[in-house]
Amino acid sequence: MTTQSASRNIVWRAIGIVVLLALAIALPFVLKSNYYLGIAHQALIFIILASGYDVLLGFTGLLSFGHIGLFAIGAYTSAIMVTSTGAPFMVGIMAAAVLTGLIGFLISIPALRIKGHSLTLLTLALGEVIRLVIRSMEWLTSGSHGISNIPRPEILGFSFRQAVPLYYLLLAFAVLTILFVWRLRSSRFGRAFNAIRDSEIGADVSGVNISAMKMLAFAISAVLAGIAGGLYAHTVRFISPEFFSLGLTIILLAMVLIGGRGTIIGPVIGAALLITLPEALRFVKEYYLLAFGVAIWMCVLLLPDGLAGLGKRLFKRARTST
Amino acid sequence: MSTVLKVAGVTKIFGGLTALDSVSFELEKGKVLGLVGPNGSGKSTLLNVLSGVYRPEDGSVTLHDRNVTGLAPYLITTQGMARTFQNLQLFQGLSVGDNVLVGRTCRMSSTLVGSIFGSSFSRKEEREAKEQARSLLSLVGLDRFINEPPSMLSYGQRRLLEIARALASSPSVLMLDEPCAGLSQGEADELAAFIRTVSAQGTSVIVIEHNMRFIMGLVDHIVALNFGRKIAEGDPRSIRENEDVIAAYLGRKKRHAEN
Ligand SMILES: Nc1ncnc2c1ncn2[C@@H]1O[C@H](COP(=O)(O)OP(=O)(O)OP(=O)(O)O)[C@@H](O)[C@H]1O
Ligand SMILES: [Mg+2]
Repeated sequence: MTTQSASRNIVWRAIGIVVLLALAIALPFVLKSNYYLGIAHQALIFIILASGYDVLLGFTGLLSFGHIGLFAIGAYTSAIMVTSTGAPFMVGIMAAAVLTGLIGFLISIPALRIKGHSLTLLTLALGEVIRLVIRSMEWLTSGSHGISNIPRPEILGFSFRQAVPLYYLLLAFAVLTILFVWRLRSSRFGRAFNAIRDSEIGADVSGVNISAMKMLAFAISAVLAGIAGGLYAHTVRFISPEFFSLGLTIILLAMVLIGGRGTIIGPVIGAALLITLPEALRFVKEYYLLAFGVAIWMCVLLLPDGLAGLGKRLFKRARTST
Repeated sequence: MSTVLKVAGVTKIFGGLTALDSVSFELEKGKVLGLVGPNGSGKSTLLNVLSGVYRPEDGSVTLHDRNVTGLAPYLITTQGMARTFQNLQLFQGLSVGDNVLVGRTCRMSSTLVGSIFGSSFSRKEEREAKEQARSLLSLVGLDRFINEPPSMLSYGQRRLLEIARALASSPSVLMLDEPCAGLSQGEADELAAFIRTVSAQGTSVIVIEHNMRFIMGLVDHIVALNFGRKIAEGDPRSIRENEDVIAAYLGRKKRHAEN
């Protein structure tokens, strides 16, 4: 690639980002009903969750099925902090981030020794254990009844109770997450994650501390899951263990795979698509999970780098044919 | 001349097979050492022990008077020994330039927070790493591929990329496992010239190669292995005339012919 066409690519990318951001800012003016804004809230939360998950899956090549467990811990931590101790919203979110980060770090310790399918099974079990523990610790989590009446966010006296301000708060969190992940990828840490994914032995002899980098990837994605969980609790205002099921894990995986793992934009597209699609496809509701299964399967077969990769190829073809 | 690397009595056993049997040699600063021997004689295994991929059952590896035996590969690279692989181990999902930058990781120290927020230290470190990567790539003639994936490169170019990645950690010992495999004679000659400039700048080189013309024209010193044992050591001419070495190669050939 010549430097000229590389810099033209950057211009195109910048235009794309500005357009997307403008659309996101303008959305509440189009979506007047609280119902649709509620879907947009969910999409933004899952953009944060999926972007963090991709640090593990797409960047570092580690497949974890326990990620929704961390999301749940984040949601419960912030909900309990705020409802029972009256802590401010931001304190709840920070507690969620710290606790999930710590747990993500602890998970990574066995993950250093165990590889491939065994690691995936271990994380699968972990996600389920977290859900069962939440259900059985009734004194803290009120078990399967769930926690209700979780207050909407409030920062320094400014309330985000209404759907539109809440939308912008979540958008701010999502944009910060995307910026973070983008900066991360072009840093020495992001390169090391990618190197581990592509060749562990190659990374090792190139001087990458594999254990430290895997721990870091686990911790970063866990922190983002915790933040997303906290935001989720204060957005929907009711959480119960049933929501954080294995089914949701599959949906999260689908978001990243369909959008395109290892790309910054992929999880964003995937999350936005998979949250809004069920609404658009309400008439096939019963077959929704089936459609998901087929979509994941097709993506793995036909689009190894997801929609983001497909877009990139189409863009390249359009550019070279002109 | 100062000794950079000292290998003493290194033994490596796989199950019942003694792949390395008490191998010893020394390497001086800026010298090129050739490691030769028939297929399966233990050359790659020796490189794997030196680079920390395998832990030896016995013996020691000393780099700059520091015992590095059994250290993890990334620590050995940090201490100053870098290598390439007989079967390439490139990062297919990273650009050619980023492949080289990964090789610099152990010389970089910016923190996560510094990298995310673009502290002046991390920006300077990143800029210097990129300059170094670009100049390494232009040394091996790959700078025009800097933004391309490694899959765009020919097999020979991929070998050069791996060498550039290894050099990015500014090693004092560079270890190359069959760098000429897949190269034309012309490319091999260019590579030999390149290795000579690297060693002239003070980097010691260990090179495994079957291409005898390449070895004889390049190296200062040869260690010959057979069945994991050092059977000869000396300058290229003495090795070429060494009867044990000739017998080792012929013996293998004869057995191959009989099979
Ligand atoms: N990981 C391993 N496990 C078991 N045996 C091994 C292992 N690695 C190498 N060996 C054996 O050790 C011996 C030496 O192998 P090595 O790869 O070091 O040979 P080499 O000299 O590099 O040969 P070539 O010229 O074919 O690359 C061989 O008999 C090989 O089968
Ligand atoms: Mg070999």
